[in-house]
Amino acid sequence: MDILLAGIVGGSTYALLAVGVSLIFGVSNIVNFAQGSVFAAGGMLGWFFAEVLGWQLWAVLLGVIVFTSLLGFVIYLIAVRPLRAAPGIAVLLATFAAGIIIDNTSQRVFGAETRRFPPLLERSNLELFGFRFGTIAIVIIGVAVVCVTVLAIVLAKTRVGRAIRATSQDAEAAAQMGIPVARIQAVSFVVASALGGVAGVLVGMYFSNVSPSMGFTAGIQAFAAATIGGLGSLPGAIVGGLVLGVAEAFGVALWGDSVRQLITFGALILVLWIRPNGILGRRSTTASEPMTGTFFGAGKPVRLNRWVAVGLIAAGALVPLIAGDYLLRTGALVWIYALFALSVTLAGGFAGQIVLGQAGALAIGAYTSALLVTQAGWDFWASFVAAGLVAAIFSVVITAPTWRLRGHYVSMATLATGAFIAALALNLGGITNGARGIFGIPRPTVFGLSVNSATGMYLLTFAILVLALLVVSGLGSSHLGRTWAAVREDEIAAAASGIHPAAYKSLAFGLGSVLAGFAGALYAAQVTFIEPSQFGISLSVLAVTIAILGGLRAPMGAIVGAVILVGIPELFRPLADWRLLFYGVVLLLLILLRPQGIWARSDRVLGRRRRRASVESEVVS
Amino acid sequence: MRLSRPAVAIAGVAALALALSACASGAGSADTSGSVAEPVRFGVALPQTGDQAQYGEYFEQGFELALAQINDAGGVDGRDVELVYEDTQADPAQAASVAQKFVDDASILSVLGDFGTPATAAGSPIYQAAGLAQFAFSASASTVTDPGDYIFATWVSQEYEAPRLAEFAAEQGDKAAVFYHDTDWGLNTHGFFAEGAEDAGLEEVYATGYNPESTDFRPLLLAAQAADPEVIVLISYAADGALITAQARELGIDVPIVGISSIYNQQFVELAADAAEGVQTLSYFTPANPDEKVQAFIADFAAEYDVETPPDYAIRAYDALSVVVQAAEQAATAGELTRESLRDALAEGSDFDTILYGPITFADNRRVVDADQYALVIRDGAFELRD
Repeated sequence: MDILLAGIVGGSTYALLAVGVSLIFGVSNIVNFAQGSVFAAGGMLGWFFAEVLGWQLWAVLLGVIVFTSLLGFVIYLIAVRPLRAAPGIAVLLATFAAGIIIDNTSQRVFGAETRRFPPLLERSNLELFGFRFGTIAIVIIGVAVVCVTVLAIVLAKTRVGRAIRATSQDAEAAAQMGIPVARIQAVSFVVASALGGVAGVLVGMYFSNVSPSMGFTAGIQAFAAATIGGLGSLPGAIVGGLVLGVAEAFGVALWGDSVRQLITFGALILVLWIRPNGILGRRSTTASEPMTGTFFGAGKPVRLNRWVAVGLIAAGALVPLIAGDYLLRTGALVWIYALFALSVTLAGGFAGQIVLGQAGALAIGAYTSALLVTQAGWDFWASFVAAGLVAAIFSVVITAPTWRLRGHYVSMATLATGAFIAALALNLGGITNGARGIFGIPRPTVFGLSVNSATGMYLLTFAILVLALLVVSGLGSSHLGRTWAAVREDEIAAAASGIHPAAYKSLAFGLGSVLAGFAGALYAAQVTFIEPSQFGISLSVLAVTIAILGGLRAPMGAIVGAVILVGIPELFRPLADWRLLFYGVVLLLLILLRPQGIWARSDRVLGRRRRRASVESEVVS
Repeated sequence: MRLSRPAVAIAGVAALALALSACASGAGSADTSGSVAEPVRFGVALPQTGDQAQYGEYFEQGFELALAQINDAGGVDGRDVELVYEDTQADPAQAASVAQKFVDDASILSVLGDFGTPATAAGSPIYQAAGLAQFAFSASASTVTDPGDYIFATWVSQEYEAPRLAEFAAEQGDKAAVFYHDTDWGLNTHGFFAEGAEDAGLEEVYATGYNPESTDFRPLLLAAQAADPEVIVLISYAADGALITAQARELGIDVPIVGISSIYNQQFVELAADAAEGVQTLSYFTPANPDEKVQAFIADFAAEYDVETPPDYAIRAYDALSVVVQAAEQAATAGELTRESLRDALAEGSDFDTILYGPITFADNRRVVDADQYALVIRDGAFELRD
């Protein structure tokens, strides 16, 4: 009983955050990755008001609400509004970049240290069934319920509420009916961010401390809670939060803290399998959702002349002649990440499914290869092949029920799967050595010789990447590639022509996972030490970012993207403490300027220019 | 000419990159022009950004204080000492690149870092292959120096510390609830702790690993409470240890709490506030140590950073630089100061002065074997010697 209560209080902290995630999704159909960062910023600011300035609770809350509302508006203005016409995934990545910027700004402003949040409310003055809790716990539950009730009344009774509901049902129709859709979306960001800020203060008080980096995990939990409850449903967010909180409390009390992630993502996967729209969610009324094929038309891949391609390969292979070892060591990492991102290109660019969990396949590959080489004494190349196969088999089996889902839900299911695999690696200590990790992984061998030098690793990874690139390009222009294109462009038409879309998506994903598994084997050999926490959600997002920024439709894009996204942080080394902040800024700028990818021509821009040209010619004549 | 937006963007990024590299090289040349002789340079691999950045901040506090004092005292062999910081975010993938960067820079004589075992271990094979000594002052795994004779570690092996903690806990009661990090460090420590507990007659009625980044420990504490422990043992860092302590007291669990040396940090008291009162720990460091050097260090640290007690991590960083500089001084006196002679000086030298452990000598496996610990208790918001 006491554990149940602990779960309810813990779950209501998730619920408070999940309401914001759900609200934004409902109105704008956007998964807002910055929500957790707003939460953390609210917590840090609350600490500053309360501890440093010594404000009262009401003043702290008011100040944080004002600030985070503004922050939400700025996020909308900078990261969301400019991408109205871009693919949904670009917005997701933009909010992710905004999150990096917020986290690191807060870290620069308040310092990276964990801070004590002053107890403005009692934390242990009440007792029920032997569980001691405080006013703060009641307040958290109360605020969550009040917020949802007020929101529900606003949504049901007021003009703004009706406009919000209309927008969430069908934004285009709403716009035609004269509803200022953009303003309504802005309102949803402001309200959700204000809620996030309040959550930061309350949760900070409940746990008694806050830190600038607490947002990411909290954001993911909230996102899982919102999805479990039903994205877009506000009561669902509360129910989802409580269900998750209680499940975690019991799981953690029984089996320890390491099962927390297992439960979060396991529950998320189960819900998506059994009831994709969540416990309280309704089936979406709009037929086409973002992230499906129709939006990828925005950019066409740049075609490479054969001789240019040969020249590029030669240039890549000759880099060791002029570059130092540091550049080569980084270069090997770039090629590994490019290979990793190619797996996203296969599933996303070819079959039209954005997969957000490829770190899972990478992890399986890395562990398979590392274990076979260190424990079973296999040769690197045998383990390399096994890494690809095992990664593909695992990924395909785990995601098999996913492919009948559409749009966002596929991305979420794969995200959950990837995170679930990392959690498994932590919990299956008998096989993976758990949190201890695997030490001293040997470098690959070629003809019995160990490839230890920077040049060797560079050339090896480059050669594998080029091979993979050729195979993937070949696949793209093959019969199979055209079938994928059919599924991507119009799933219903493809199904009507006798193509089984789910099977083809699964095939693209499986082949992609082979590449991710290969990349994992190389990663293990490059880094020589692996442990579960290296394969988190951020790594999956990195793979997608590389693929999208490079140009999702072209295999070459993965390489361009990897060079930029691994290169920029290296280039920013002189910035020291500010490095990650600037990385976030550049990432956001790149997404804003090139949502269709760098390695792609933009039809949209061309069209506009042509239109402008014709207008000008009319004026002249 | 009308530029398209992408072109402007690319030009912008390129300009920024140029400006940055200009800054970097500018800063480098400005530093070297000051002294007559070339400075002695050491690399530091540490997390300056990302989730572990707070530990990087502690490191920099320790390093900067040591650096200022060393250079005020004339540096090494009349040459100024210079530190080159590289941010790894404590990410093993980046740590490998940074390692290669230091290896390529011939002026770097030794590298200090990284934070934690994963990032440290990812650099080790590269340092070893290149013959550049890695001074791992914040990696605790028992295998950390295995990659070879260029890897040194100062973290006392848990083999010695953990059983002592078990004895220490046994003084408080016979039945213990143990909380340990679900990391390489936590698992190892708990393993040795469990062996020690058997010898000390301490029964582990509850033991659980946890993710150091978790915030809600109530479910774990409730499960621990059900096992009716007489003492709670924290194999924790300061921030998460404080959280467990605070939440335990809120739940009404009022048995004694003892923690391993890494909870020794004023942050523990700040975060746990009243709940911290009475918590005990075994520490290598105590502000009450009458040693002149230790007292001078505490005074200097307080003058520089306005904190009463220096954090454990800052002390480790301070010691790391001062040991490497002492070895460099010996190498320079004996002959030419090179990467190799510095490594030999570290391996062969004895009784290097440190604040944390007192004089240390590296064992055959290039680790610090053992050192004395003090029993401390938190009273009135400060760590005091327990009598």
